[in-house]
Amino acid sequence: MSEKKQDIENLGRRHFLRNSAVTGVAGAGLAGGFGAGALLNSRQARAAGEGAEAVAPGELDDYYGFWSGGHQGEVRVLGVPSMRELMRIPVFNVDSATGHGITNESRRVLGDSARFLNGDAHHPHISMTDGRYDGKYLFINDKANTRVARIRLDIMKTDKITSVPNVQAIHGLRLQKVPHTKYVFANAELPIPQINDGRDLENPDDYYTMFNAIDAESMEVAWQVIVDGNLDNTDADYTGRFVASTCYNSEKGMTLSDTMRAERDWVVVFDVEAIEAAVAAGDYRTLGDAEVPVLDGRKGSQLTRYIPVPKNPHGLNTSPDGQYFIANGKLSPTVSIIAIDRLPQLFDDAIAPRDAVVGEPELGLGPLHTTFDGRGNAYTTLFIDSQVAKWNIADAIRAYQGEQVNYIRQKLDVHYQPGHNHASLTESRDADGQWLVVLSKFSKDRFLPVGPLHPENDQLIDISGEEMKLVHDGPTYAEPHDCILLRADQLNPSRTWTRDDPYFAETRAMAEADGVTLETDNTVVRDGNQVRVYMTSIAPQYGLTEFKVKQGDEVTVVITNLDQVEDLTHGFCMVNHGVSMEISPQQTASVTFTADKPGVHWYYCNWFCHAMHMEMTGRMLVEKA
Amino acid sequence: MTRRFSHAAAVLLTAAASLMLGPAGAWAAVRTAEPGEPLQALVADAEAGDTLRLAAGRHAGPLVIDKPLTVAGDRQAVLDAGGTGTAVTLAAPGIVLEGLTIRGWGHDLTAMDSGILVREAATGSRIRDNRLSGPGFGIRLDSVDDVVVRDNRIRGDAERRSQDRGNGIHLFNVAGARVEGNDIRRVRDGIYIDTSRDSLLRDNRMQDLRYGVHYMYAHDNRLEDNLTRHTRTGYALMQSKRLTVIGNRSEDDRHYGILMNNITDSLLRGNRVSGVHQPRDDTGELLVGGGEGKALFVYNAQFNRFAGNRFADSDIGIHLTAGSEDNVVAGNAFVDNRQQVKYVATRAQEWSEDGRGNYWSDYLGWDLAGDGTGDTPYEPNDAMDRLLWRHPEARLLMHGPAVLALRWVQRQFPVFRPQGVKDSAPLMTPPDSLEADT
Repeated sequence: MSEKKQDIENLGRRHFLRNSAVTGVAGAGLAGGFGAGALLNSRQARAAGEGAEAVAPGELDDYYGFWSGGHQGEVRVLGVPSMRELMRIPVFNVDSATGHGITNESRRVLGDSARFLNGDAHHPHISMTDGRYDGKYLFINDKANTRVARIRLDIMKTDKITSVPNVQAIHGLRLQKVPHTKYVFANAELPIPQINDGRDLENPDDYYTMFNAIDAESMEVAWQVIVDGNLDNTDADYTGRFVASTCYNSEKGMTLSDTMRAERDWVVVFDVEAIEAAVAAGDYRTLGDAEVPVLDGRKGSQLTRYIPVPKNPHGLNTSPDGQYFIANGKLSPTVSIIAIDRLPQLFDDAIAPRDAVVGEPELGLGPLHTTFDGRGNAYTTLFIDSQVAKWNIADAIRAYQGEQVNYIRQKLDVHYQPGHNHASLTESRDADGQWLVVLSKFSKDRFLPVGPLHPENDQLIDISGEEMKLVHDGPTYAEPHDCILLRADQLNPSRTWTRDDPYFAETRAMAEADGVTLETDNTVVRDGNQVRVYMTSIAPQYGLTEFKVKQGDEVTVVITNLDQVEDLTHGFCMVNHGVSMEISPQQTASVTFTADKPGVHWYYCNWFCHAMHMEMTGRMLVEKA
Repeated sequence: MTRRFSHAAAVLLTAAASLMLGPAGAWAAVRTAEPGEPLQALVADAEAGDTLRLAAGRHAGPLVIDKPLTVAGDRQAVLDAGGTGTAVTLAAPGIVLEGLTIRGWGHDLTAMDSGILVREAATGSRIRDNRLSGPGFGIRLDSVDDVVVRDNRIRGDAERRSQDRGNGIHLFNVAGARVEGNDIRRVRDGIYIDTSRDSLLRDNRMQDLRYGVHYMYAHDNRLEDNLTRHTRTGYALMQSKRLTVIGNRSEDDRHYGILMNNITDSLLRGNRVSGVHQPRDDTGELLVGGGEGKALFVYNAQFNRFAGNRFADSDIGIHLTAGSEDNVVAGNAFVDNRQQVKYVATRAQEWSEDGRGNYWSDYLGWDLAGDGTGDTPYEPNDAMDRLLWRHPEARLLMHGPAVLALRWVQRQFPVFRPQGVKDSAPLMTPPDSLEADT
């Protein structure tokens, strides 16, 4: 298919370049072996048009990709390699279409933090069992409001959000891989006073931040570890014992220049087993109102080790063979390869911290993140060079030992200035080396101009062969930091809701207390000035086409979509009340608002459902108080 | 302990010729330290403005100079830190450190071991004519203003991995530094300048190392008449504004001659870059695909002026990308680069100013008007670049039927022609200022 065609075109171009030199000199005229097409293949045309890896209409993608929405706050689901956007999952944002942040069910998930209208989602990661994606949950951080969210991948909805106490700005987030995702590991980036209640503002020396472990099932914070410096990115190993985080501010500087002074910052390694033992032994304290065990992991602690690495490191990535943590240099053109099998000796103080580093290849300017193909190669984004460097890990280690070996395999221009990159299944044992996504921070001139605000550019690269090939440019709205890819067969999303789903269990309990059967009843329950309106919906009709309340009543509308047909989602929008929500097949959803304006107020279905969708309406009659 | 010398003794020992006016106007003493004398105690005994001369031979470091002294030698004086830590620390204003041979400082980069460390207090100090040789940093300035570093010779430890060596001269958070006439080799980066401003780097020579000059977030600096040879990158200028980069040379550097990343409102004039290329196999393919050597790499850099520079004999003459627009490129010479211009963008750029463009060694047009500029625009094209690079003699045949046919085909299908760089007034000969240097 198209790949083959590309190869032919590439061949044609190479032939042209080789032949044309000879031809030109010989003056022998237009030789065979190349045509006008090859000749006119401009650099620009090649860069933009080198055959998007086409998935034909009606065909399905091989991979799911989950993209963070950055400070837009959501998670997006893409098909790979088509890069078609399949779905958006609101997480930390308010979403008018689904009612996330508006419905009672979503506001229960958001908890106290429902008062925040913004979020900053960076790092999406999928739960694992024995180092393989199990397709159950996706977790993501909120740097803006210090939260961690969980998405249930069967319904593709955010079902838990935890606000992490005692810290500010959750940045790096990764999951325990082995034996299963018991913990979500979350780095709080910015040091603050402990306790941060205003009693001590002026002493940065006393600021600290913490490494956090959140129980993946309960979403309670299990424990926190105080560290020196700050915390940037993190990843876990394949034994279940070690987690490593980069620190770019070992100086604990409060200004830009202060954070740049040290030649080396560090990777801090956490010993999860030792931490669990300390918690079990009661060797912790609590801070303020929070009941979370807080442990001391500062230098000298048995819970941590600090490995110096060159200046202001950023990404931290575990190789899928479980052998190495790779710390990406950012302000150094190197990455540091840390041998995980040396970490037990490091914790036993049998080796010096730098002895855990077994390689430090020089890759280019501004290395930020590394990903892997499962064939021993690593792919590192170079922010300043605006390239991806493909390099061989074993060769880089040999070079560090003094052998003359070229460990760099290829450098590929990307457009422009890449941050994260992510290869298919790279964070699991199943890394398959098929696709690489590079999330470029700037698109500059790659797309039609759309005003001063530009899209980002997520580029898809075919890494199945020896040579990386750029195959697709994908403009994205603010601002995917990271993504994760898994095979389509590793997920099994629901086609419709099941009636016993815990997502609306509280609403069901409320109905039962009111003596209402959600699946059959269309009725209004008055409880003082609180009015609960229960109705079903079957396209193209609501179970109630009118209901009457008094001005000032607090109205809760509960709708159960009885349609069983896949993709037959209903909506509910109350005009002039800021109320809007999704009710998918077999789902119950509810929303509460104040009927503060007397008169007639129409409601209508705002998710297209039927030929008579426009006719799916009703009226709320509000009597004057 | 008795006072080891007095002002009177110093006068007697060194005769009237050694009497000088110290900074405060008082008579200053000159004291000569013989090898074996404890230097730190001599410093403790000295007063501001005194001179401590180190006699030939080995003196044990480390040494912390915490008052305004002149500490000098005649190059035969060796200050040896004994293999660990920092050899000399300057921690008072107006110190002069000159003529010393300094060696034996540590290799611990985490601790930032240095030959000479200049601390914040050492405003206005001068470090000149020293010879330094050691594994960590050579001369490191940390948050200090108005320091002069002149005519020093710095050598790294070639036995260590590049990334395990320190930088030759390391400027962090400095202002008003003058770094001139230094010769730096086999360190990691020659001159590293980070989060600094209003400094001058002039007439330094950097060779056999990683980056000659490594700029990071350093505004309003001047880079003039420096020379880099056999480095991985000659001048890595990054994330900085208002740089003046004049008269520098890059010879046989490997990745980039001059790299400009996120540089704005800066001037590049009279710089000469040649011989930036990467290894290739027998068939001419790069050993590492995508890693071409670039004489000048301009990335996300706007509002700059490139005038009177020469870029020659490299894999790529100039590579512009990531919205590097609104730059003036005129009066430069692009000579015999395998690919003269690599421009990755979708918008057109005009590279001439007031009817004067650049000299292109592969320009094929005529100057019938005799005004020194070609009659047809120069538009770089990678296929033609490569052809002419491989076979310069082909230029003579350029009006032959084959090339005319190729060009005719190109002109007939403008829809396929890239928006790219166009020089409407290509120069027929290199600008005079650049001809002398070949």
